[in-house]
Amino acid sequence: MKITVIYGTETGNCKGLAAKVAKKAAKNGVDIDVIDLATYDIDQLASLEEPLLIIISTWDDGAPPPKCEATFNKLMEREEPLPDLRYTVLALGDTEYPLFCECGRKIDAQLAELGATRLLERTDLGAEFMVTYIGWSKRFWKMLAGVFGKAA
Amino acid sequence: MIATPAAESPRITRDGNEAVASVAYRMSELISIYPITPSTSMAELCDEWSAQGKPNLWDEIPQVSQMQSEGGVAGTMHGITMGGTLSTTFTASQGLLLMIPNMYKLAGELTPNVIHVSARAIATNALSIFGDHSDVMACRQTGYAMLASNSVQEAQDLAAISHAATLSSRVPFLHFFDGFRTSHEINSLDYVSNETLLDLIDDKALDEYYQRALTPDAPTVRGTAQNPDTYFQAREAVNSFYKEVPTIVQATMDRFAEKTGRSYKLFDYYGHPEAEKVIVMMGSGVETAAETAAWLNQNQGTKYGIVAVRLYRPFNTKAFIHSLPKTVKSIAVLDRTKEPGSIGEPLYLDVTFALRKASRCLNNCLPHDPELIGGRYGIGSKEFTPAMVKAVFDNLESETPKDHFTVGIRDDVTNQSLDWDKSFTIQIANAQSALFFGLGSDGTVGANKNTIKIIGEATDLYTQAYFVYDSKKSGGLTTSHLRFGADPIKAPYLIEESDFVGCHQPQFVGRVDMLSKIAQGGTFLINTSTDADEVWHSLPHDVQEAIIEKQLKLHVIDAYKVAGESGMGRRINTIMQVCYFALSDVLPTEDAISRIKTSIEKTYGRKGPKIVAMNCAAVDAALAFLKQIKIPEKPTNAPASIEWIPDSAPDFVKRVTGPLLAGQGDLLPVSAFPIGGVWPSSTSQYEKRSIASAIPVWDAETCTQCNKCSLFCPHAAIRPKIYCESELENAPQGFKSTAYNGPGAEDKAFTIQVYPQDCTGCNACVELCPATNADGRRAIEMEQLAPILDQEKESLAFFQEIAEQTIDPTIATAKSIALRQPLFEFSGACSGCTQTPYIRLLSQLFGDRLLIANATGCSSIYGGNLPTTPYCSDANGRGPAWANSLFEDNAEFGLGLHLSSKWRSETARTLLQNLDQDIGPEEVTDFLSIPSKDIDKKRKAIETFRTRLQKIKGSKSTRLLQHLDYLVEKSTWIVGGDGWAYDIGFGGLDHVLATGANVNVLVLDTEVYSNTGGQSSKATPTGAQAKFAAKGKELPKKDLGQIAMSYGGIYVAQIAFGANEQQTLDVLREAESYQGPSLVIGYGPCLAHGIDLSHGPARQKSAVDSGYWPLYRFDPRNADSDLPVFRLDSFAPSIPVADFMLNENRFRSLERSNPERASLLLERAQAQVDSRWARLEAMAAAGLEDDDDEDDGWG
Repeated sequence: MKITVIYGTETGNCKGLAAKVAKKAAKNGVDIDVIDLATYDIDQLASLEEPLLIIISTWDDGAPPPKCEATFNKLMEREEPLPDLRYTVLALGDTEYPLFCECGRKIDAQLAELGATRLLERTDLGAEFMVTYIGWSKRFWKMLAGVFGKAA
Repeated sequence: MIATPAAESPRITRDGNEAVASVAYRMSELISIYPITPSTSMAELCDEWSAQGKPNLWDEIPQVSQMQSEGGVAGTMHGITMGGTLSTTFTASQGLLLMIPNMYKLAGELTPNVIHVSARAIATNALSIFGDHSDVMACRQTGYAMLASNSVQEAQDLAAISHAATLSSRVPFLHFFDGFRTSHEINSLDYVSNETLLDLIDDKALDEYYQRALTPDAPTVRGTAQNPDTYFQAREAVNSFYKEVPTIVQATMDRFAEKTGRSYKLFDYYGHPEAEKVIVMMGSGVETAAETAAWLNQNQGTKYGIVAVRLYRPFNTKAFIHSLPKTVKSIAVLDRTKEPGSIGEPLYLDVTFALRKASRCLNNCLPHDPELIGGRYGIGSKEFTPAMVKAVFDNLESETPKDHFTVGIRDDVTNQSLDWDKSFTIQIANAQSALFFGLGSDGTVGANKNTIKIIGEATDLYTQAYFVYDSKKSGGLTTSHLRFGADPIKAPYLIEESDFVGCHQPQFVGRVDMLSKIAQGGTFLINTSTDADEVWHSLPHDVQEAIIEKQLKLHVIDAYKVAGESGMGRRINTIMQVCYFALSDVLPTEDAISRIKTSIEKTYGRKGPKIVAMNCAAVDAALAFLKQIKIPEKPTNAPASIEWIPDSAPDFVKRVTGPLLAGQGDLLPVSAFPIGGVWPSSTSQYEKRSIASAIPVWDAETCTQCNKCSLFCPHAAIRPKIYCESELENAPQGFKSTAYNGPGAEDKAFTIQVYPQDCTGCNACVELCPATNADGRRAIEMEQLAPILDQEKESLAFFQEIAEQTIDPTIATAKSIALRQPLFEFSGACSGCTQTPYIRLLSQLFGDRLLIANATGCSSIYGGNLPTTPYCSDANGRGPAWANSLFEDNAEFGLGLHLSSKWRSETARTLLQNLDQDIGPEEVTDFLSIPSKDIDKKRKAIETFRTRLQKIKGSKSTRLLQHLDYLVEKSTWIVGGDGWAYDIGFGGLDHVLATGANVNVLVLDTEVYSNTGGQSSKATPTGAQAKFAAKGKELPKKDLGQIAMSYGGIYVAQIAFGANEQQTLDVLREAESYQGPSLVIGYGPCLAHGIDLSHGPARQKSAVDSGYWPLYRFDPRNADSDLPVFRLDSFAPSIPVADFMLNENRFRSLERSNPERASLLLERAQAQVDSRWARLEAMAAAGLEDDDDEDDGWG
């Protein structure tokens, strides 16, 4: 059992959430790779076999975190399909911005467009993400239990 | 005047505080301390000596305990001395006032101890950290004996006499000397040896003292309650002890004279043996007065004299009368304090009564019944000069002398001041003087302290040094006054005629008056990068004229070039020091250079041979760059005056702020000042300090418009603006702009403008700018100011005129908040300060209804220290209303402000409802239903009400008009540092939080007493070295948030702006909206941590990442919602706490000095972080009992 988590962060919130997922994975006996989107080679997505979780914040009026801008753009420009990819997106944002969680929404739409399989509906978390994360976490792990054939 | 080398002598060079502390430490066993300016260094030295294991007279190491307030110190000292252990402490001003209750007890119980006071003004209409006798005069009725010292030498000697006399007499002693003038003056003095000190102590008295202790071995009770039948008589039982005090003090002084040759009397007389005019006074002014009287007697044939009061309490009439020459015909008593409403100031009253008593009761008449007048001088360290002394004698000479006069100011309201002849001065025989102008951070003061030390050690000369600082936290002007000569220097006033003037910063030329105090034919040295051939022409007309008229020798050096070439960066102080020695002839230059090198070795030796070699190379290179400039016969530049204040400024700013900025504040008359301590806000914008040599420059192309640079700017000197593109039609050339990138961006432009003369050059904005272009250049980068100043000024002028887009006041994201006008700008805080952004945020969030109670400390100094005020107002004239009461009472004071505004709000609402029929019932009902955050709507309605009320007759209507503006509720914020919140004000803070009142508390937690120079507080963490914690703090930081959370009904949060700006904003808004008490603790990295403040926000982030400073919120409102009451806003620690700690010198320095202890404390710190995190996580989980993610199908 293995998953990959890619996070895109500026202030560290997404990285922090990735660390929480990793902690849970260790507890559940699931191997995990945690990778920073800023340093990730998008082309590797094509050969990714395990389920992918993308945790991404929206920086400013729909833009990605500045450090991830290049990788993000490369993903958005990608045209080669990703039919074997299985993924879900956890998006962070601030409801006071008009384009709430825009960046997560764009990634989600682009991966679907490229033919990847959405394992779980995208979840958008606002300022209360430290609390609302828990509800998402439950749904996420229930979904994975299904994927890995762990009967509830 | 090349002096002969020093012979073997016990002569040392020290400041008054160190001279006193050295005696107090050696004569004590247990010392309790608390920091307060200007006494702090005495306590710091005792802590250091104790940490080093330095012994006292009995070969034991005194122990030092830091307390939470001076009240605590006095209580501890009461216990220590009742327990039979020798004790002392050091304080001043408000601190001394807090000791008064215990002083009565200590005196009533006849318990020996000594309080050493560097006498300082008391806060009245304003706070003043400077010297006068207001504090000690408030203690004259406590029963303490009071001894006054007038110089550094005397401060040491009378400290010894106090400690000896208190034991012999049982009466406790208050020993005082003038704050700053004596406490901080460096002077030559003869060191008093342990042998002398031991000899002064009465062994029998010491034995009895130990025997009297409160002990179960010989039980007694103390502090009983007595009834009308007993209290009075028992109170009178002290009389015989007080009667003995003068005899004991004189005997101790005589014994001291035998041992040291320095003789003192209860009242010392200086001057003509047959003087007719006499001044009676105490403190440092005595020396000025005595020297002036001597000079006048010698040069003008006058018969003047001075009586110096040493033992002020008990006041011995007989000794006083004996000190007066029989010939005296008139007396002026000078008090360095003010007692409004009294018949006269205290010393004046004492002298009056003593004279009357002498003639009527003691049958000890003077041949003439002297004429008597009294006056005030020197309040709040106002200069007291020979010319003022002469003015007092002139007043005595006049037919109708002015009584209750003042000298040193111009009182044009009640006309009580004496005029004095500004040109009068007395020559100090056989002395040289030198005056140096530097910047707070350029090392000028340090180099001059070193110079005085070299002269003191290398020669037989007597030395004196005194340093004047302006009140800015950094980048302020420093003036060093150095004198030395063959005779002791008795001139406790600033240099009036200097043989040498050194200008260490080129920008001072023409802006700072440096030449009015230079002697004819003196030497003027300027550090300038202007080419030697061009220097003359670069000087303004007035400077050229002064140089020619006074026939000065002008020398220049490009010290920055020398420093740069020898690898010293911008450290010019030793280079300037070498130049001084070369140009003055106080020491042979070669000798001076070798001594400077020795001291370099000593100072920088620890930092390695490379640093030492670099410094020495700079010293060697200096003289080659020193050039003399030929002086033309006439000025070559046309006269031009400096515009300190623009014409557009308000009248007050032109009339008062302008002279203050020009260094002419002393000349302002009484009538210039607002009464009652009121001062206008919005004046810092006129100061234009221009202290940065490089400022950030914005690159419109690279910028992502995140506004972080503005958000974190400590001085509000970077501001973004969104505006209509059409505005750009009138933009000056070089004005930078780009298309706005955000919602509703069409036709909108965006600019980030730097305020070039208000920026302090801290570099924090550059460090945190997240945007870089392809070349690696950030969207904001530092550039040299000089070449771009004019362009930036022009751009700024245009920027300020542009009409900005209305910002939705209900939205406060990290990006949008920066677009709101800061109502706290250009404060005097340190370059890179991390506290000021928190305050600026408050002003941007709630500025137009913000009421701030500010505890004394850094935030009260940069918030309200003249010459200028940083709080300002918006376009409607509304803005933060700010006040500082004291240090210890801030929470209570803030509660009072809140209760008052709440009362007025409620009264207004009631009256509004009562008058609804007259005003309009529907509108009143509408008004009362406006949501509290819709302030604009409320204000509009209030204006309508105002118009109507003005037409409605009756007392209710009048009364409603008086309170009408309070229909918009004010937001009360109680702001202060950790010294206040954790220590001195904690009792009050705790109580105010427990009242349930709707007040908001913001603690700017720097983990030390930053304002007094970084003493440890209960907020100081384990492992940190601070003053008063020289060994490294052992116990953990107090968890203030946890204490407040235990009440349950208080909103509590911890924030760290650089770690999570959105959480900071959310917390401040939630705290404000909570209808109950709120406590917000903000982490504020500080220079005292030994860090580079350009990385302040990164330090905050690292503190959070390591779990050292967890972010959390406790919101009682959530008890009724889905959200948990307590939640963590930061993640589990991702780095060890060592990664955070070892990047800060406060932790690292311990590792260098005591690695074993450092590693032990580091281990402890990690354990504390771990256990606290576990506790907080458990608290957070407890709030989510029904909703944790265990229930996820994985068992």
